[in-house]
Order: sequence, then structure tokens, then C-alpha cells
Amino acid sequence: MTDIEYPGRPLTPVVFHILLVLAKGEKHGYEIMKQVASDSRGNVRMGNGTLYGSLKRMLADALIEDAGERLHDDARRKYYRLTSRGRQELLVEMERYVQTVEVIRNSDLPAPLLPAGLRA
Amino acid sequence: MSNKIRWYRALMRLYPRSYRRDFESQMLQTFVDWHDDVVASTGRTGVRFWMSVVADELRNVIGQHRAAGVPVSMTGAPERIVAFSALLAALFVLLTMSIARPARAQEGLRPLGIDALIGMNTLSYWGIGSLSPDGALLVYAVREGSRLRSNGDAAGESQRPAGPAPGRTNLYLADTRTGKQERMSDNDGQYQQPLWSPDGSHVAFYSDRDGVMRVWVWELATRQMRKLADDRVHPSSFAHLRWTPDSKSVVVLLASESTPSQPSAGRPSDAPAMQATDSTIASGATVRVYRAEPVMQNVARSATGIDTVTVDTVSLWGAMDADLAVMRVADGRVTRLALQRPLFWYDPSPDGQWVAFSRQSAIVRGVGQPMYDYEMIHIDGGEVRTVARRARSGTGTASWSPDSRTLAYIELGPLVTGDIHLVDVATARSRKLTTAPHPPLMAEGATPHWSADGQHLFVALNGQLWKAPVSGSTLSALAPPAWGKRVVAVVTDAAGRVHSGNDDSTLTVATHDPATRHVGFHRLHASTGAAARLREEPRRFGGGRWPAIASADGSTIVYMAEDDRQPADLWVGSADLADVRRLTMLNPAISNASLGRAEVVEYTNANGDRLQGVLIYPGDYEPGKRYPLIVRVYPGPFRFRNNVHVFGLDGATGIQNMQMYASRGYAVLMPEIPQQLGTPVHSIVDGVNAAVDRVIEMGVADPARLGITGQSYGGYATIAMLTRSTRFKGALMSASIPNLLDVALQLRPESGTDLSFWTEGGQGLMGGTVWDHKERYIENSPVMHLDRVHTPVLIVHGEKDDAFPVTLSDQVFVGLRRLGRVAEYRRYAGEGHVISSAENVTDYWRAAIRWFDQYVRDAQ
Repeated sequence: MTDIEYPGRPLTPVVFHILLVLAKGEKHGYEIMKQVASDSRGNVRMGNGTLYGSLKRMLADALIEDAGERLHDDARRKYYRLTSRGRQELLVEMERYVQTVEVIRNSDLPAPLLPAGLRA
Repeated sequence: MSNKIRWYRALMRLYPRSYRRDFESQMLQTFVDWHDDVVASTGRTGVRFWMSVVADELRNVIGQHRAAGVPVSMTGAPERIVAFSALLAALFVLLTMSIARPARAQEGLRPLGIDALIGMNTLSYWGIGSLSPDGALLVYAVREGSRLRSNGDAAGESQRPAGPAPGRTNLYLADTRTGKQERMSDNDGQYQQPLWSPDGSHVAFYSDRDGVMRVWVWELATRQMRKLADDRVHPSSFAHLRWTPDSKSVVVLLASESTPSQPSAGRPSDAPAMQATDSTIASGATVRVYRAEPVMQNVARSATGIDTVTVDTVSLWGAMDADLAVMRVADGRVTRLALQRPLFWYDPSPDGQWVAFSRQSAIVRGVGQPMYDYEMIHIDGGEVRTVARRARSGTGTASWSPDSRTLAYIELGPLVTGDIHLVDVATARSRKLTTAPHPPLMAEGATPHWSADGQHLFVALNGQLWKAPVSGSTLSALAPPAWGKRVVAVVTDAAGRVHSGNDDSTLTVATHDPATRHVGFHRLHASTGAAARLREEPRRFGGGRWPAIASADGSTIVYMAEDDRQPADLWVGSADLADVRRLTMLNPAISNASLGRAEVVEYTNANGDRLQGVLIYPGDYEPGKRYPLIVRVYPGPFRFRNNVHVFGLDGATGIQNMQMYASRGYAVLMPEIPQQLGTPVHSIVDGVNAAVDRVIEMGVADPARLGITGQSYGGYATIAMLTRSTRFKGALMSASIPNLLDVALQLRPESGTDLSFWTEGGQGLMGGTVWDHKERYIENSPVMHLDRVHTPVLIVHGEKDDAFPVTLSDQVFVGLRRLGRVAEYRRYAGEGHVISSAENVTDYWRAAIRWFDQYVRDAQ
């Protein structure tokens, strides 16, 4: 039994990656979609429905907010940005990942059971 | 409204109204971006794409209905279930249409993908590689597009000896008899200019596999490669590799030891050079001084007065300063023979005693006639001797006589007419060999070749093979005019010795037939000029430095060739080229794309001139059906009819490949557009219209769906055309030159030169200064007439274009924006005159395809 406390509930991979992308600056929908695919090396790919469904929930949870419309490539696009709450949730989630990695690192598991990146 | 938007809108109707109100417009825009990106990258949206769109949307539709409290299960209100089912059925029909319709519209089309284009394997500028002396083995370098560097990874590029070879390379070894190939390198850097030693024991080459470009050797006996020395190779395209005849050493250009590798901090990197070349600059000052001198008028008055207007250029080539060195293969010992010289050419003598070299010493301002000093030094070092001064030898090359006593060069350039000169290296005395009258020969560069007995000199120039007996005074064409072939090059071995079949009475030449447009090889009798055909084929010699090379023993010839649907590969044959075999297949997947077939079309302009251009048919061409047409323009005295065998029409890689359009269902036309002095725009309008009318008349082009594109001077022609015609529905101009007034008066800050020569006597065609022809400059500067442009224009320019500055394209964009026209301007940071990084080429093609699809292909 570990005594690490997890504040808040874990984020879904899609929400985590969207927060991670928006932590670097304001983005419109397609920029978010492309950047998430790129950051996750293609492991997290989402269509339009998933993206905007997630954005809607994140707006409702005040993790992100509307950053206004701008003209880009001859088309008007709506931009999104992180709220302070979204930044806090992202930080907590990243700490959770870091602690998890530490747990694995200290688990004394034999090398074949560890992912390649954590083998000595 | 396009079909994809209509279908996606229908899909959106499945969502609750409140959700649609908040997200419909942005979802639609994101979908369009996504769809267009997929089409640009892969050529089309397949079933998998549409299935993933539908699955993803339906998941979200259900989620949003649940969130909105709308029943989506059998426990919900019956009318809702019915409505939802009906919508799903409608969606199914729409999606079926969406998948089927594009397939019908572009039946069987497999576009050449951007990734495939960028990933193409190409032979480098050094091209063919090197044949072992017995012809059994060929070593060649392949630039592998799939391993192109990104924008930011330019450190290695600065160390590159040869200019036009970005990207990574690997060395390959091919057995010319069996065709068996193996890779010699390990994807670990760049490999360039492989060259077999004369005894066939080693291959020397440049590589930056340990981070810096150095000289390496590969030993045949051990099949191992090793670095010869730690000395850095000088990063210039003149840094050739040469073996000494005894195979014990290589001659190379090394970076000078005294040259700092990094500029000192706190001052402009070029400030020291400025001070070194101008004594009026105070110590420590970072000023750059430009001066105006009245040289143009003097040259124009008398070409014979050149000595009064030549300018010493030794100091202008400071960046090329390098050390000429000999590296011994046995122990890597480096002897630096001549220090800090801007060398254009160097070559060891056949007896291995001397190295001769040249540097540009002067240039006739205004007309650009270069002059070279030839020097030589003993292979073991010692004093540098100057053997010829201010030789007007075009590009500064020369060739050693077989007895190592004489250097021969040919005078070429704006002020000379192709006389061969001989330099006695012992006495440093020069004499003009070809004193008898002969036709004037014009070209930028060529090198005479000695016959094996040293009695004759041969040079391929202006489509002929010229012969000069060393004991005579004549320069005469060897082949009779009725022969009808153009001589492209003399086939030689790596040491420049002519290939002559079974005896020394003939020479093998690479040829081009202007009538059939076939390339080939012929054997010319050295005395009579009688020609014997070895082979001809409907291809073009690839774009390397030489079209073909022979092995030292004459047994084997390798050449590079391409055609309209197959990029350049290497071909090998015996001395008589009777049994030619393809040695490489560098891009096997390219032929999977729907590449268009190219053919020459003939048309007549308003002057009544019979002209020719090249048309690529769409990859899915069906006779009787009309297609959108993109015109690729580049006016001038160019014979594009020969491009009928060029893969991509205007070039295989980068932004030039016109198969990108043809494989997407466009016809592409590259017309010949001759011009008149003083009226370039009029000539462009006349030439383009005549060619386009012809392709419409042929029933291939749809007159309602015409596009136009051009790069550099072709960009000028593109915007010029739009100021005189509204027949084009979309246009793309890259690195354009839309303002002749501006170009004529632009200062190039790095060199202090300007481009007035270009506007007055070059492609600008103004025939005089701005003050001589004010109206002409205005009339032929498209920026002055942008108010007549009504075609949507995609504008592309590299911000580091040092040929024509990006501000020229700024003017077009600002003008069109001010006039309220449709334009998009993509200004590429870090790019020069031709967009070249993998990322930016990708961006360019995505934008170009989207632009032409939207404004030309889908034009109503």
C-alpha cells in the first residue's frame, strides 16, 4: 500500500494531451488535433467529434476558455487557452505521472519486465 | 459549396441544436483543414478516413444527446428514435456517395504523394560515381530523401563541399557485371565524390560521418573505411578529390588552419574581411563601403580597352580561401602545398610531379568576363610558380598534356570566342594555338581533351566536337553538319582521358538528336569525323556533372538517364554499348503513382513563329475528356521540347515536379516563350495564350479551368500574365520578380553589387537604364498594373532569397490586399531562392494543391 495521495481525479489521455498542447499557447481546433498526434507520437489520435466533445466538457469544467476568433489562412478560427484551473490540473496530472514513474523505477522489477526506457 | 462541406454539414445535423449552435462552424473549419491535409499528404481520402470520421462523430453524437437529455435508447420517446434512425439512414446514403463520387471523378488516380516526392532517392550532382579501373565495380552516392534534414539541423550542411546536395547520402558498391549491390556506409552522414584510385585498391571520398567533412578511404582488400586525417575539407563546390597517378596520395582543398571556424563574438562575422579589402576602413570599424565607378560606359565603348576596367577580384573570393594539400594514404600525412587561395580548379600532372591550379584574378566589370591565373607547385611542396596570368578561360579549368609539359585551356566568355591556348609549364610561356579563323564559340565553361598521343585537342562545345591539331593553327568541327546530332560531351575516364573503343582512331561522344529528342552514344573517327551509332534511346541524360563515364581500361561505360515517368537511374554497358543494363532502380515505388505521359505540342504565336512546348497529360487521361490545365511558365530562349524526357517536366524533386499536378488529374503545359527586347510582357502574353489555345483546341484543356504557375523569372511571367488576362482561375508565383524598377536599383548588401545588368541586358530585357526607358520599365513591371489582376494568387518567397529579395513579393501581396483581391502569401523563413527544406516543400505542396483544387479544378 502506497501513501502517495492523488489530488483530483486522473485525466483522460485526450484531456491531458489537450491541456499539454494549450500549456504552450493558444491554439485553434485543428492545431490542437495535429499537435496532440505529434506530441503523442501518433498514439493519441482523435477525430473532430472526440476533439470538440472534449473541448465542450473542458469548457464546462473551466479547464480551458474561449480565446476569441482570429483570421488565419483566410478563415476565421476559434482559439482556446488554458485557465488557471486547467494549468493546475495539468500540473497535478504531470506530477502523478512523475511519481508513477518513480514507483516503477523503485519497484525492483527484473529488467525484462520494465519498459525499455526504464531499464538500467 | 464543395461536396465535402455539404456532407459534413449533413452529419452535423445529427447533433443536438444547442451543440450545433456552439460548435458547428468551428467543427466544419477543422474538418476542412483535416480533410485538405490528408488529401495533400496522401493524395486522397480513402474509405478508412471516412469510416473513422463517421465512427468518431457518431460516438460524440450519442454522447451529446445523452448530455442534452435526448433519448437515444429504446426507452426513449418513439418519435426521437424514428428521427434519429432516419438521420442515420440519410447519413449512410450521403457517406456512400462521399466515398464513391471522388472515385468516379478521378477514376484510378493514384497521386504522387508529397512524402513520396520528398522521400525520393536521387543521384547527387557528382552523379554517376566512380568506376574501378577494370570497370567491374561502380561506387556511387545516393541522396536519400527519406533522411532529409529538418530546417534546424544545418550544421553539417555548412561543411558540405559540393553545393547542390542537401540531405543525407549513402555510398553503394555495384558489381557492373552481375548487378549485385551493397551499401558501404551506415546511414551515418553524408558521402560525396567517391573516386577509385588509379590502381583500383582504394576509394577516396568525403564524409562527415564523424561530424565534420573530412577525407576517408575505403580499401577493397579489407572492405573497411577509415579516416585519412583529421584535417577539415574546405566547404566549397570546387573542392574536388583527385588521386595522384601512383595511387599513393589524394589532392584536396582543406580549410585553412588559420581560418577561425567560428566568427569572433561581438562583431559582424564579415567585418574582418571588409577591413582586409579596403584600406580606408579604420581599424575596428564595422562599416561596409560601396563605391560607384563609371565602368559600364568604358566597356560598352570598347571591348579592347578591358585592361583599363578590369577589377582585381582576388579579394572578392575571400570566403573561398583554402589550402591545396596532398594527403598520403599509407600514413595520413598531410602536406599543405599552397595556402589560403581561392582555387577554381586543380589537377596533378600525369607524371605525378606537379599540381597545377587556377584562381580567378580579375573580372571585366559590366560584362562579367572572368580571368584566371594558373599556378603550379611540385607535389612535395616548394615554391608556387605562376605559369599564366589573366587567362580568359571561362571557368578556370585546363588539362595536362600526356607528357606533363603543357597545359591547355580554351578562352570562353563574353569577350572571347573559343580559342585554345597552350601553356609551356617549364618556361611559363603561353601561345594561342587556334590562330586560323574559326566560328565563334560561346559557352560558360569547357575543357579541351588531349588525344592519347598528345597530338590533338578535342573540345565539345555548342553541340559540336571541335578538333585542333597541336602542330597546326586550326579549330574545326569534326563531324559533318549533315550528321544532325548534337555532341553533349566527350566520354572520358576519371582522369579525363578520352574513350576510344578498340583503337585510338575514334572518340566516344554522348549525343542528343534535336529531331527525335533521343539521347545516345556515337563513335566519331578522329581524322575523318565519320560517325558510327552505338545506341540511341528516348531518354534524357540525368542532371549530373557528366552524362557518362568510362573505366580506365575502356571496357565499361556507365551513364545516368531518366524519362517522363521514371527518375534518373544508372545504366551500364560494355565499350560498344551493345548490351546496356539498368544498374539501379532508385525509386521503384514512384511508378505506382498515376504519372502523366509527356509529349511535345506545336503551336504558332502572333508573329507566326512555329513554337513547341511540352504537355503532360493527366494521370487518368481519357481521350475526348477535358481537364483542368496548369501552365508552368519560364519565358526566354529555352527549348523545353527537350524536357519531354525530364521526370517531373521541370525537375524531379522539391517544388519543381509537375507530376504532382498531373497525378492529381491536371494537364500541365510548359510552353516555349521567345521574347523581344523591350517588350517582355507582350511576348509572355502572346506565347502563353498561343500555347494554351492549342491545348484547348486539342480537346485536352478545359478553357474554364486554367491555372498558371512559375518560379523566379517564371514568377514574373505568372504575375505579368495576370495583369493582361483574366482567363486563369488560380495562380501560384514563387520567388517572383514583379518590379523591374526596384530590381534595377537594388543594392545587394553582401557583395555590394547590383542587378542592373539583369534588367538591362539579362532577362529583364529593358535594353537600357531606367532613365533611358522610363515608360518601358513601368509598362513591364507587373506591380504597376496589379489593379488589373482578378485571379486569386498564391505568393511564395524565401526570406533569405539572395537572388531576388523577398520584398519584391511583399509588394504584390500588399498591392493585391490593398486592392481587395484574393491572395495568400507564404513567406518562408530561412529559405533562399528555391524553397528546399523537407518541411517547407511539404507546406508548399499542400498549399499549392489546395489552391489549385479550390480555384481551378473546382471552378464552376
